[in-house]
Amino acid sequence: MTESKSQNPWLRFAGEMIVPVLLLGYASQYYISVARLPRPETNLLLIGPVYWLLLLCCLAFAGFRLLEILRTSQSDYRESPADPSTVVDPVKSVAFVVLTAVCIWGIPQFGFVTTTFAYCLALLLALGVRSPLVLVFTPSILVSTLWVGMEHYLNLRLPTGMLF
Amino acid sequence: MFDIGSIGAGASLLMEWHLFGMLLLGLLFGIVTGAIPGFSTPLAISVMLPLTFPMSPLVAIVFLTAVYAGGNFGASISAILLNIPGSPQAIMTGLEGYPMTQKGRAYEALGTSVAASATGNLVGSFFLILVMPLIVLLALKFGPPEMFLVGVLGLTIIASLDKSFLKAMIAGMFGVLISTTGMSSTGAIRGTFGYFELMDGISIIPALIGLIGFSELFYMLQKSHVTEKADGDMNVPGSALSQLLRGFRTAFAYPAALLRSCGLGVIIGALPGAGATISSVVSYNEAKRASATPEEFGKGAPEGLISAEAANNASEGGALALMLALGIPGGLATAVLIGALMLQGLIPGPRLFMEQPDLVYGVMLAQFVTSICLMGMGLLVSFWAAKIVRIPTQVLIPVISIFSIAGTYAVHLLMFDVVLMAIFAALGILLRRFDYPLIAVVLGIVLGPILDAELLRTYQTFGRIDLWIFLARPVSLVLLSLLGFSLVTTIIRVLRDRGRATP
Repeated sequence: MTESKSQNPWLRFAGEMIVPVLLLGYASQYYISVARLPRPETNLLLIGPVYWLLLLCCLAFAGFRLLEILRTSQSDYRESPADPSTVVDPVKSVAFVVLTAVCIWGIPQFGFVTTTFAYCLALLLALGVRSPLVLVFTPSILVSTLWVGMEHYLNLRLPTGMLF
Repeated sequence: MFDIGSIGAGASLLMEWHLFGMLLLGLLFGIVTGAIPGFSTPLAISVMLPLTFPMSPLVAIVFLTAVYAGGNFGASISAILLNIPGSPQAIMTGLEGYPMTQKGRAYEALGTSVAASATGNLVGSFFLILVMPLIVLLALKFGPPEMFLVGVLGLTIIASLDKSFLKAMIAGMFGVLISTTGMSSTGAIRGTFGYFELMDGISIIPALIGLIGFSELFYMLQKSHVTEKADGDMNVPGSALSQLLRGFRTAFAYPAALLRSCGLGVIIGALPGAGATISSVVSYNEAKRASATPEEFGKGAPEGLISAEAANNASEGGALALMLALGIPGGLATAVLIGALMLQGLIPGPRLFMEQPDLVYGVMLAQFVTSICLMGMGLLVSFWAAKIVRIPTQVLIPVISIFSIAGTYAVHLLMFDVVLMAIFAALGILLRRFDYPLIAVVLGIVLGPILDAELLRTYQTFGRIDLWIFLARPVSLVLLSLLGFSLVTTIIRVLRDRGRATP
C-alpha cells in the first residue's frame, strides 16, 4: 500500500507540498497579524521582504515540482530508490513520541524526579531493553545525578508536583 | 600600543598555584557542562557566579573565563558524537563532525576539534593583548547598517546548505520569520498568542534541541548504534589515542583555513551582539567557498570542522577585548562576565585599564595558559567521551532525552521551554522526513533577531531604508562587496552543480 502510494507522482507531489503549505500557512497568519498592528512600516521592515521571499520560494518550489511531474514518466519514479533514513520502526517511533509527550505533561503534575524515572524506565522497556540491571540502574543513576547536580550543586530548582 | 610594565605586573599575578588549580577546574566544568545539550556557556558561567564571591577578582575572572573557554569547546563534543549541539555556537561543528562519527572517525573528529579550538583560543588571546586597541577601533566603525550586513553575510550560507536551493531558502526564511516573534524594540507584540513566555522571542536552546537534537533521536531509534556499524568498530586504523592525535595533527594540515577562521572569529567576536555562533557560521561559509573540495563539506570534511571550531573559540578573544576595553558585552556570556566583574567591585571599560592595568593584563595573559590547558584537558575528556558511541541507542536515547529535557528547562527554569522544544521536535521530524536542511531554520532563528534589530536601528537613524545608506559608508561598502562576491560565487556553484546533476 505504502509502496504504491510512493510510486504515484501526484501523491508524492502532495506529500512534498506538506511542508511548504504548513510553513507558508503559519507565515501568512503571522504576516497578517503583524500587518494589523499599529505602525506596520516599522514592524514589517524585515518581516515583509522575508515573507514575500518565502512565498516566492514556495511558489517556485511547487512550480518546479509540477514541471518535473509533467516531464517525468511514472516509471522513473518507480526506479528511484527509497531513502533508508526515512524508513521508520512504527512501534519504537510511536512509543518514543507518546512517552515523551506524556513525560512533558507529567513533569508539572507529578514532579521531575518521579516522571523522568518512570519515563526512562518505560522508554528502555519500549526500546527492547530486558536486562534487569540496566532497567534498574540507568534510571536510578541518571535521575539521582540530575537531582543532586541541579538541586544541590548548581542550585537550579527542578519542578515538583503531587509527588517528587 | 601596549604597556610592557603592566604586562609584567599581570604576569606576576599569575604565579599563584591556586589560580592554576581554579583555571583547570573551570575548564573541566565548562567542557562537561558545555557537552550537555541545553547547558549553554552563559548558563554555565551564571551558575558558577555565586562560587566566585569569596575569590579575589583575578582568580574569579580567570575561573569564569576558563568556564567560558571550556564551554565553547565542550559544546562541540555532543555535536560531533550525537549531532546534538550543546550550545548554538556548535551548530556548524555538527555538520562535519557527526558524519565523521558515523564513519567511525569520532576520535579523529574530536582531536581535530580540540586542536582547532585551542588554536582559536590562543590566536584570540594573542590578538587580545597585541591588537586590542585596533580591534576595538574597528568594532566601533560598525554601526547598524554594517551589523545588518554581517547578519546577511551569515545568512548567505543557507543558499549552499542543501542540494535543493529552494528547500534551504524556505527553511531559512521561515527561521528568520519566527525569530521575530515577541516584543519588538518599538513595543509591538508579534505572534506570541498571548503567552508572556514568548515576549522575549523564541529562545534558541529549545529550538536548537527540539529541531536538531530530538529529531536526531527520533531517527536514531531506527539504528542499533550511532555509528554505521554496530559497536562502533569501523576498522579505522590505530588505537583510540593515535586516532585522537591524528585528528589533532589534521587541524594543522589546513593552515590557511585555520588562520582565516581565527582572524574572522576575533573580528566578529569583537562586534557587539555578534558572538561565537555568527563567527562559526561566517567562517564555515568562507572555508567552503575557498576550499578546493567544497563538495566534501557536509560529508565529514575536517576543513569545515576546523573553520567552525577555530572561529567560535577565537571569537572569545574579540569578545573579551570589547568587554574589557569598553565594557560592551559581545554576547550573553560576556554580559554575565561583566556582571561578575561588577560583583567584584570593578567596572569594565577604559578606567579599568588606567586604574588596574595589572589585573586586566593578568586576565589577558591567563587566556594563553587556558588555551594550552584546553589542549590537554580537551584531549583527556575527548578520549573518554568518544566511548559514548559504543553504547547501544536503546540505552543512549532515554539518557540523552532526559538530559535534553533537563537542559532545556534549566535555561529559564520554565516548563514552557520544554513544551516549545517538543513543538520544534515535531517540526524537525517533519522537515527531516522531507529532506529540508534543519540547520537553515536554526540559522534563521539565530540571525533573525540581529537582522530585525539592526534594520530597525538603520531605519530609525536614517529615516528610510535604501541602497545608498549602505553604499555611502566605507565599512558597509566593503561588506556589501563581500556579500556580492559571496552571493555570485554561491549562485555559480549552484548552477554548476545543477549542470553536473543533469547531463
